[in-house]
Amino acid sequence: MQIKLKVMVIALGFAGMAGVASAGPVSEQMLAQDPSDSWLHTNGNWAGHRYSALSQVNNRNAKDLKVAWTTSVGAKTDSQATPLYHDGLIYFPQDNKVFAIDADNGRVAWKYEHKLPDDWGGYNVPFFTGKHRGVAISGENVYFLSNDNKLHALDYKTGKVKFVKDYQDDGIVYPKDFAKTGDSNGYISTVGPMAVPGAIILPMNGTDTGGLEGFVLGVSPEDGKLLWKANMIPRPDEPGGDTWPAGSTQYGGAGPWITGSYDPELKSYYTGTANAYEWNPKNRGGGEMDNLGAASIVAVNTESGKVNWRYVGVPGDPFDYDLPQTPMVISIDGKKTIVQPNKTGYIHHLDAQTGKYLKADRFVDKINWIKGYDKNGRPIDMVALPKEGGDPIEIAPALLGGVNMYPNAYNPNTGNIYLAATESSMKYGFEDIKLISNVRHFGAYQEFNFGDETDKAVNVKSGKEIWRDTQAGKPGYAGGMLTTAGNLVVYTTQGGRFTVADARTGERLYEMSTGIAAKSGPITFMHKGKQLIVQALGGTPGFGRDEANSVEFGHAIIAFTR
Amino acid sequence: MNGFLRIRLSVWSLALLLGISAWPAVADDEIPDVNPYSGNEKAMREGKSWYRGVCAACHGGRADGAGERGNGADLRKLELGFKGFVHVVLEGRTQPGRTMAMPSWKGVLKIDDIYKIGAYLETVAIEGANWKEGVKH
Repeated sequence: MQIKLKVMVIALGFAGMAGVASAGPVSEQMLAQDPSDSWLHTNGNWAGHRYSALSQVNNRNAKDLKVAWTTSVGAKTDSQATPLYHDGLIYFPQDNKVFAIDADNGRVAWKYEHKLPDDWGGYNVPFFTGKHRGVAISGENVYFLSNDNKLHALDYKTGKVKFVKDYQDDGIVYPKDFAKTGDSNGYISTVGPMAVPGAIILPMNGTDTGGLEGFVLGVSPEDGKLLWKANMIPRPDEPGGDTWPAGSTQYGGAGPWITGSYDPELKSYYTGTANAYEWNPKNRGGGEMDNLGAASIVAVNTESGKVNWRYVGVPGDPFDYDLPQTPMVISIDGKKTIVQPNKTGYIHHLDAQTGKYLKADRFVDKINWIKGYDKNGRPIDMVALPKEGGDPIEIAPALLGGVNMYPNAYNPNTGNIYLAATESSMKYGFEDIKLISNVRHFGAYQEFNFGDETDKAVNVKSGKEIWRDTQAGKPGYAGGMLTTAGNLVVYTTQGGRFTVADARTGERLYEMSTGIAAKSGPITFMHKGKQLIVQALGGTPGFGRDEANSVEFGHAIIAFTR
Repeated sequence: MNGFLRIRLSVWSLALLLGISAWPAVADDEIPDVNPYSGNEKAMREGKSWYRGVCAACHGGRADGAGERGNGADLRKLELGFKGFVHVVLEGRTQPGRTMAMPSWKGVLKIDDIYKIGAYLETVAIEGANWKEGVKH
């Protein structure tokens, strides 16, 4: 009887899975699943795990992988987007265009192109232009945020535009050429949107283009109209509003610059935020005030736009550490927990409902900016700050972080998180804050000491490192991590080595030298009965000049299968 | 007042209104062959501050091109000569087929501050750098 019941439960389970279609318009039910046949969210699922339930390719047969096809979209800057896959097409944004790529052969099925305004420009803008980190899909629309913060809804089969919505009337202005305006401050969108029930989430970041304060917008999937606008920096009457000096928040930074996560029960969107602006903290409390909302994890109710809680990981952030990474939602001992590895060199754990600090596990070898976190999540013995115009101080990690924007993954079967980590330190100093065309510059500088790329597995519960794959003498990060029910981890090193490893042991099962740096995470999906793994490549390795990886600027998208 | 003059005047008025004409363009023959601030301690200190505030994001704190914001040139071995340096700062420089570029700082940085940045960069020059000869484009 017991066996019979078990069989019935399993059969019902399969029936339930079969009930979720993997073709046609994308339903809310499809968006709520862990990825298997499709890949519908930048981070794989709402919880930000980058875990696929597929196991056709697994640790026993991964050695037999072959290249199915390669293609290019002619990228002119870093390819940072994790693609989406649905119903035969792979969606990939690059250079303010969206490409739909036929999963049969890599050919472009349709292309949508957006032209930036003629007066586009300003501080750091050439660095950001053309970079995107994802698109969203819901119903029959692919949603794309162009660099100038316009939301484009495109028919998922044809690329025909349904609507384009601009948010300048809602205060989201784009940065303009210094020579063409008296005020170049603006928001620049490189981050991808996210589809949740009843809303498309748009993270708005102006931190590095003058410091305009960060917002998360909820907009209508039907026409893009603004539903709510959540401020990352608390208003004076909100908890933590007194952690900023009066008048310091308008250019206070704290922009959300990576696609966050979502919990459907708590109806909460979780995002990390950028540093407080300027990097030199003299206008925002001199590092003595917390500047809550910057270098923080923020929880936003997706029905009302109300901020439920904020936790600051780097109070008064004087080091450009920020906490931008995707906060993963992971159930640990029955408690819904926010788990975020970040630049600080620690993996922060918070209660998903209340934001209460639980613990922080160190994951890099070299940290000297603090001695750890106390039981309340406050840094212990932070180093003394450098004097403006004086000698720089040695800080580890560098502002490059223990991990940076390159996405991490979590596998519920192994209990491990997989980190695109690096070792680094920097000399860091403060200078006078320069003002050009009403744009405040950083007021700080750094001299990097690059360490090795270290791709690693850390057990999420114990915080213990399980394995590491060190790229000796080669600085940088893996482009991003993918993990699967086939007991695999997939990543490409900054030096261009596409790698499939055993998720439990780190044993490398398949690798191919692509000759191109990776700056995005791979995905996997089922296409016509075969599991494909797709990796977008492109850009220049590392930050800045980096001969160590011996890889020149390049671009390609490669599909692997058995 | 003829139509042409009226248009020119209104363009100037608009420019003044926007505050973008504070630093007029510099003609090539107005740029000296050698940096007037070379070796000037005060100017080098000011240039260092400008460099760290404005240039280091791309070119790195050591001026070796290891900036956080992309692949700036290694300015320690700048081979353009002083005048060539000033030209590139004023006009910017693009990379064919690439989006990332050196923006133009004309009308943004004062010409004296560009000279001071150059005076600072001379202090970090290594073998292969050329600050003393004429123009090399």
